[in-house]
Amino acid sequence: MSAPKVGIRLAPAGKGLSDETLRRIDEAIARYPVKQSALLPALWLAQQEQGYCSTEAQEQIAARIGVSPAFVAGVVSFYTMYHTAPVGRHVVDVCTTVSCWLRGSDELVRHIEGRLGIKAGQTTPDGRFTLRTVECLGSCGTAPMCQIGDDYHEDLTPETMDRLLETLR
Amino acid sequence: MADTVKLIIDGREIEVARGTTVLQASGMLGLDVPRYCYHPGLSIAGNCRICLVEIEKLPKLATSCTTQAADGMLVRTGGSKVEDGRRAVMEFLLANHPLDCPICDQAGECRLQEYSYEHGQGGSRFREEKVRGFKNKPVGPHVVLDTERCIVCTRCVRFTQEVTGTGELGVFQRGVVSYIDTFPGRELANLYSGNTVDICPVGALTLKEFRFKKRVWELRDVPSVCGACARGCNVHLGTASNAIQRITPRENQAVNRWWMCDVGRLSAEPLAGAARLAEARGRRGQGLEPIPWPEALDILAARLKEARPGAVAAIASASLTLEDLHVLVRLFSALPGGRIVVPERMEGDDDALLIRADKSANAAGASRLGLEVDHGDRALSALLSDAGAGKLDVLLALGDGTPGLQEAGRQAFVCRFTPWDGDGLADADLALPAAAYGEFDGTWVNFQHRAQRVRRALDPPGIALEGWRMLAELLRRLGHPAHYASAADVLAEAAATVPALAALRAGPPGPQGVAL
Amino acid sequence: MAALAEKVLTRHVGLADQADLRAAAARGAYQTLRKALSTAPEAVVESVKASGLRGRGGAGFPTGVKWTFMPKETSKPKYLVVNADESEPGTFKDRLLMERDPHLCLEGILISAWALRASIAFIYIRGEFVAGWRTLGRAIEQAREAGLIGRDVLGSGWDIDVILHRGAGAYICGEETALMESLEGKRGYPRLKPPFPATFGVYGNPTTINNVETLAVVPAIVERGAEWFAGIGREKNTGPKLYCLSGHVRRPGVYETELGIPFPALFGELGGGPLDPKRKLKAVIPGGSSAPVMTAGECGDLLMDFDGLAAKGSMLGSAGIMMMDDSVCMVRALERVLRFYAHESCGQCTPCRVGSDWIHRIVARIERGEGTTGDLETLVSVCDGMVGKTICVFADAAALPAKSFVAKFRHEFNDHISRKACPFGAARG
Repeated sequence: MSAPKVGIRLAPAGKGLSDETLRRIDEAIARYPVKQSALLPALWLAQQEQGYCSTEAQEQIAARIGVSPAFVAGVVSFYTMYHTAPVGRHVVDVCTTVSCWLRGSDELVRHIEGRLGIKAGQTTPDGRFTLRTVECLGSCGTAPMCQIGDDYHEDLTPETMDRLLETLR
Repeated sequence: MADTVKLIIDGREIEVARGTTVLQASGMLGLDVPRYCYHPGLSIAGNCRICLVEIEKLPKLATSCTTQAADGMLVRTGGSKVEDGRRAVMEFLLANHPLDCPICDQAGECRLQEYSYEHGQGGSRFREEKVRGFKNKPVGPHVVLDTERCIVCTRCVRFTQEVTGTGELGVFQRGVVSYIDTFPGRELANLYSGNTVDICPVGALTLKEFRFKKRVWELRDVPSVCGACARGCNVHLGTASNAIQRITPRENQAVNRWWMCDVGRLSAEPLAGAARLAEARGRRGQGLEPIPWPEALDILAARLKEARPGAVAAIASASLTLEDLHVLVRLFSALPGGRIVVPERMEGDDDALLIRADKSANAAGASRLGLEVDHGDRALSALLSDAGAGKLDVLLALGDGTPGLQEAGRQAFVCRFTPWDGDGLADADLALPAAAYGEFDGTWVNFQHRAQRVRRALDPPGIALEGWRMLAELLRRLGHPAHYASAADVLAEAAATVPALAALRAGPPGPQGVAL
Repeated sequence: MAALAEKVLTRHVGLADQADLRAAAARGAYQTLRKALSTAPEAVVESVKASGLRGRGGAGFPTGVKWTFMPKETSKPKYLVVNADESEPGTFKDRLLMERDPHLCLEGILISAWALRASIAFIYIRGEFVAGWRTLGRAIEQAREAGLIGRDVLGSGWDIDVILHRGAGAYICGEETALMESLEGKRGYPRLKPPFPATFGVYGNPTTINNVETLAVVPAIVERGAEWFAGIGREKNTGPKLYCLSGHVRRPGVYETELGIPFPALFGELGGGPLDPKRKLKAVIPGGSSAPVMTAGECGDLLMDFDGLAAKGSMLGSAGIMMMDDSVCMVRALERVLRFYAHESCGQCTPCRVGSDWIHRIVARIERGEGTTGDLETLVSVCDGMVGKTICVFADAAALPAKSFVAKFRHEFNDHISRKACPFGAARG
């Protein structure tokens, strides 16, 4: 195991947000007594449109919320669910914390790695899957489990995992 | 509720204003509680945890920077419990630190180095591989970042958020890989960026212009005042090898708090390389040639004596010292009809923090001597027009920011008092070498009408002298007594004779200046 | 010790249409809100106080007492924050309530907001709980349309807004002040305290923050009375409680029973005993991973409530109970626990930022067979260096379990060091 290294993976120049997303960000801003509270919702909207939060989107959001771009980037990189660079179409987050580990999450990860031909943290060459190991997803009673996009998939076995991956194009 | 509270720190009672923190109260007692994240000019973060103290009845050690003093509080800033706590925090701070003091600019003024000597425990128990960061990253035109040395105290981040309001710096990621950086593609490019280097308690932020130039213990510290604008930020001149190696702000709550702008900070840089006038020169045909200094003064004195009444004028920089201007005023009071024009030097606007549009160091001082600064160049235009019409015989130009006098010089004798050699001398019939910033003692009055002392830190080259010395020599040659051994003597005379300077009768201003 | 006669919190979680307002209302949802709105808010506070309800989020602070910390005379708006950032490893009870009975949650939130005279209830739900976020979002919209949220709720003259706020992946946002920072659009850094949320919470306004399960049980207290609630469990540990069983247990899941059920009944009767009948229970983490570990031997007569676990040097915490049988390498288990904390430390305070990572790496090294004599002493001493020196209790939550593993399973650590390998082998070790 090597030492941790600082730095975030950044995408090359992307593009800005659509007018529709900006409109929805303004709606989010209007919901809160204080504008800045809409920062997390705005980043969710950006990621929903782009698949990640591009630097351009972060700058647009900074201007709309009234904070500096560096502040926005600091927030983006604090939370694990925001991506700062493009990821696969399906992000497979396998929980590997205590309860899932006790119920075989390591074996599940190894199985998926073999199946997809990538290591955790990587994306398949066709851009279909990004595989990550993550910390507790609050589904310990149905371990092992993973989150793919918005959905939880629980009580997984290598077989059910294979079938699940098959359905994701 | 009373406005003050009484507490006991290390056995000593102290009464402080309500809201004062234990760390501040300790400071009032002269106790140096260690701190990294705390800075009096910034919001309280409480993140470094080194300022732990023991407070009676509290089960845990408390950070003194976050704890408000309360009546009856019993505080211990030392002792085994506190020492153990601080040693633990020091060990964490140093665990991933590269310990590269021999090549670190901060060495010698590094709080990490100092406290680790005082509170550390020798060898490290950290056997793991250190977290790798990035090194030598320019984050702006003047500031270089080394995240491996950074302890994420966030002083710099808070500075850009709270003082300049520009927010260029942020904390990225979290946990042990948290690091400071700018937004991708953006720079720490505000006009106060150098302050982040000053407040960085370790060697994570260094000044590009000072990196590897000198070790800080080789610097001599001369407290002075910046001359880059009418603010007069209090500064430390760090000198070595008879040169200003760096300029850093010196706290003065009335003037610049803890800060200074990058223009002032780097104001010595261009001067260091500028060609200096180190000898007197007189015109011989098309060119200027060196002449002995007494001879130069004799020539000028003769010209002044020969001049028609009303045909003598001076263009004097508002960045000359009170002392220079005072002797100049005396000289001109001995020259019937002579006039002194003090050009205005405005550039841009005042900003919300420190920078003044007026780039003169002493415009308020000039006005206190009765020299009105020439708004809109009206007096200067009249002077130049008179010179063009042959109405002037002798024209003195003193200091920086005086206009070219080629036209005026066709019919008048032009004498320049200047530190600089080069094209600026093309209009002069006589050039007298003057001391540059850092080479003279004297007094400036800032825009708040606070008199402050600018200090000599370097030896001037050749025979360059302070303006008042040369002007005093002239006075004597014109038959007037002018015996000053030092700038303080000149100032004493000015204070005694000029009512607007009466506040200086007690002597030159102290380190924090004097409000006039 | 009085048992729970019928389920209160989970009575309707198995019903497919319970998230729909009409279906839920037909089963009685919001009836108690109507009742509460016809009484004084103070009556609700008094009732919750008298019930002895202690917070179900982890700290177990008496809820009614917390509510009285809110300033009476203030011109500032008051807020209720619902901590739905359920992130403590081993815990998944709030998720069940939000996904399966959102109107029960909302009714509890509204009654509590009424009791506090709050003008806004913020629900901060962890970012990963997309299903719960959607379900609650729909429930809020239905309730708004039904006049249960908004201006002049049910003709009471009281205005309440409910704002559902989604996190984005950060355990520390379960810490109440980090949650507030996150809600304000910042990095989730815990705040310096004082000031406390009751005087300086969200946007600097008086704020009370409670866990989902805590608020979801409030309607039952108002409906059935404080005495009923106080009669379940034992003194100072009252009421129904959701327990999360996971790990090496035959029937993992959420179980609602009386607070203080003995561990053998919880594990053996409700959980069905060990996952592998041939294996013996070795260790239990009784209250989420921040709780010091217990040996199986310590669990025989253990009462699973706040005071029962505190008496044994651990804590009930979030009632996330993780069972480990004798196949488990305790060094590896601790490595997993500490990896979590190294990953989740917000990084604000020096001792936690560096210490959480350091102790994880020491344990990971020991597990790899690269430990040396002295590592355990360093580990324990680094833990001591972390405890009690930070802004929030995260550092303690990492260091105290680490110390408990070393204290109770020291021989396993020593075996790793002396054999220069994990005795459990690669498969599970």
